[in-house]
Amino acid sequence: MHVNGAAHRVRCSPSETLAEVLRRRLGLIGTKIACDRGECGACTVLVDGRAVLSCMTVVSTVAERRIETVEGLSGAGHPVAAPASDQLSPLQEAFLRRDAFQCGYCTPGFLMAAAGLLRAVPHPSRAEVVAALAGNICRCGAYGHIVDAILEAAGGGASGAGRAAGDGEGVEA
Amino acid sequence: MSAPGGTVPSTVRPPAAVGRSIPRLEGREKVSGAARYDADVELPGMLYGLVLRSPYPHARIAHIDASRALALEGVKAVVTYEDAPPQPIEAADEALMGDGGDEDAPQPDPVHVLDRTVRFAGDEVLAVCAVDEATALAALALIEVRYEPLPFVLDPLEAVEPGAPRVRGGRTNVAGGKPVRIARGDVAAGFAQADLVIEGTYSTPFASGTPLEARVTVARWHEGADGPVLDIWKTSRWVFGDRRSLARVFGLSPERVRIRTAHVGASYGNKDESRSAYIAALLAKKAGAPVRLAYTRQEEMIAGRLRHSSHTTLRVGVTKRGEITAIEAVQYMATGPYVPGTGVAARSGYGLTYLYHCPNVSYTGYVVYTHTPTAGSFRGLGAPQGHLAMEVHMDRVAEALGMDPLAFRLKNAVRPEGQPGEWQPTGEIVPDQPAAGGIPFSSNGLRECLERGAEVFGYVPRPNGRPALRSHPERPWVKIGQGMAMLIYKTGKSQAQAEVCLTPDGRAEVRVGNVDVGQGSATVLAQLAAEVLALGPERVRVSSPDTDAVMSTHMTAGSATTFSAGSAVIEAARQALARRERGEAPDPQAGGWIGQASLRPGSTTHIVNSFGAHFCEVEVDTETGEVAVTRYVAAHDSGRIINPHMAENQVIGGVTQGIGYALSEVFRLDEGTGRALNASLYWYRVPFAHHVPPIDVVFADIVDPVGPFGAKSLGEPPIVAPAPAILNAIYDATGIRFTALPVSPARLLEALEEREAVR
Repeated sequence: MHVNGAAHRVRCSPSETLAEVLRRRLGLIGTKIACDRGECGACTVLVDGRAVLSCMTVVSTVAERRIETVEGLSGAGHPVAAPASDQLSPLQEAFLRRDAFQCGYCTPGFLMAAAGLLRAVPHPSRAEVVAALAGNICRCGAYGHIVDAILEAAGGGASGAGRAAGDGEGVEA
Repeated sequence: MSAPGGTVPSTVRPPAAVGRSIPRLEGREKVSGAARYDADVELPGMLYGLVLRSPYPHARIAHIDASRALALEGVKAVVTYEDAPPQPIEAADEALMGDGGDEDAPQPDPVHVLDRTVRFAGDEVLAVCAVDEATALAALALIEVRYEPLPFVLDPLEAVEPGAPRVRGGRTNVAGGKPVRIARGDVAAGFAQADLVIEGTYSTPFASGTPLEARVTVARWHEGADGPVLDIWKTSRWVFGDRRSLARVFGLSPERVRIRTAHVGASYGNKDESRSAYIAALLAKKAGAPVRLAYTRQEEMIAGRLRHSSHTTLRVGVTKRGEITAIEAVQYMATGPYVPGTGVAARSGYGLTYLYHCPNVSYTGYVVYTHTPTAGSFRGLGAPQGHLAMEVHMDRVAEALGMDPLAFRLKNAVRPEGQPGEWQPTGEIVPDQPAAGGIPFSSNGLRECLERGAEVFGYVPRPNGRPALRSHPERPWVKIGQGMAMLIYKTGKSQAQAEVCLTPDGRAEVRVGNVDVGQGSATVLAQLAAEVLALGPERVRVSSPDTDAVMSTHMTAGSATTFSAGSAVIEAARQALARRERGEAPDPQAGGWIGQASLRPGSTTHIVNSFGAHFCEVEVDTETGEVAVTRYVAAHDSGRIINPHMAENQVIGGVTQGIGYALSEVFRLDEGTGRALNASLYWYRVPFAHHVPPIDVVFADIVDPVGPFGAKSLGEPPIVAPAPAILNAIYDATGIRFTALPVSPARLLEALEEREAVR
């Protein structure tokens, strides 16, 4: 498996979900399981740059693909399971600055959904941001601040949005 | 009247930390993915538990055969009613919500977890633990249970009938043995003075808080110096309540039970019961290994805590000049089998009897045991139910009088001097608040909320109170309306304790037992301490809740943390500072100057309440039945705002949850079987980003003379007003008056068709 820029050899049942493998076998607890059936988006990760629901993804189908989790957004992105890096991506900084969460349980999923959007559309409109979040629930209801944070990260210019917008630096390290 | 007798004076010098929008203390951890929640706790050798739940809403367990499950490789233990200790559990939420009942009333049967009688479809029957979840799941399928089904009752109106099946034994299904009553003046005389009496009935369904981190416990036993110690990590909003419940049920002294909670994936008032911890501890004891018991989403919704459903009948008498002469409300709420919840009725009744200036009021609230999933505390307790009835009803009253709804409220909103009448001082102003007149508020920014909210929103008066029935200029089948509602909420007064350690290098640690469930209390408490100590808030740490490390304190409930724990933190910080300033040597063990405080903040002469006024615009699509909330302004008086950015987020979140409550959220039970029909995030519709418009938040310019640095409650009030504001806006758009939640597209289309049929 290729996770956050590093290759891993994982022994597991091929029918395990990507979410379980990330959390249990690789210790990447940033990916959250909240419904375990694709209803809430908390487990969103990037597979080859696209946002997918890791609780609905059988791990054997992504064996050769590039997987990115919230841990990969910050700092060097590896080694895997390292404690939080001091270096946050502009997207994460914007979430922090705009207070774009409360309990934070949905936050990794929102960050990855946003990262997937910014990869494809570096400067999205508000409507495009809202549409990209259509599969993510924030039960605390911080949507307003989340949308503001994503727009801020995207509007931060090429260098500002670089990491999150996926210019090949940082996220893919 | 004398000045409010607060325990904490307001600001003594210009704020340094208070009033600043600093980022959350734990923000970096949360955005980096490093934050460890209770669901992320793993212990070596940990087993995985699962609960078998009753398919019947009421039954006696005749027989359990677990032999085939126990023979399965990897299964470590099964616990049933035979393993349950004889002591009843004192659920933390019962401790909170049982107040207001009658001590002389016949007490219902005590609550036992893993009882031989099951009382709702989803109640715990037994639990199993195994080396992994798949094995535990396989084991559940091998267990045979024979039930003797018993008659059941789901509807609170049926449950109060004399012949109804008893949910908890006793003479009646009414919790506390009798209704909660709140009264002031003479209602009969008030109605006699009225020119017009308007009556209406309103209902609200069960609603689920469904926080994204479902309930989870990791329990282990180990040998302490003088006997077994129970060590627990759990999703909790009151670690000391959990400790008390578990110590009692296992017959341990409280010091031998340790409860910790990591980050909590939200609570909304929900995470206060000790059941999952109890079952995990029982499994861990029997298996001799740590056990993790994590609820699935479905379990979280069925076996967690719901918002009480309600039926409210309201009569309001008014004079032709638009003065309210009498308010009478009778309310029934379904509470399920396990939580008396009379405090929920008291909250509901408070709004119904205190929001409007009126000399004669009467509230009678029946909280009724039912064979439904358990209702408990959920953001706002009964206030959203009471305000739904009150604020929709008052729109009708305004219309009957030919008055603009806002003008009617400006005329009749409760004033700074409180309700009319004469107060007979009997000591302190009690937390559940008097219904008596003659007691002033410490501060009351309701008028400011109404006026500034209307201005920011661009409220268009309806001089005759009639709906405007506007159509969208380009899509005439879309109707546009505006609506409003106001709210009152009591500020949580709780006994609070805190310790502050100030170190010689200019740092401080705040040690409190209160749980930051995502609302941001740790950051706010740090700001309060920083303000007193004249430190940058980034130099203040707040310990995480651990019954072995901090002083016992109140639950994260009742929007009380800033007000109550905050007052204790301020006092503790002052004491630590005083020690340093007196030239005392730092405590060598703690490495700093220690201040401790134990207090119950509040006033003996004034009522401390928060207020708000919400304004919204909706677009009603008469082809699809969909209602879109297109503009929203929430104006709040919560006193001084400690952290404006976080406060705004909290208001936006409450409004968002309120939009769900108004338009889509209904937790459904099958009438024939009592089983939940939509216990999932797909079928139970909570708002997504595209359901929520930009929400403008306005804070009234109020510094409360009692609250810490002038602050009052904030957490719960925002969820109280959205549903009636939205229903009133739907009326303004369509002329259809909805009196029950939620207004789903199906109900809206049905109502439109009915109206067509009448024409």
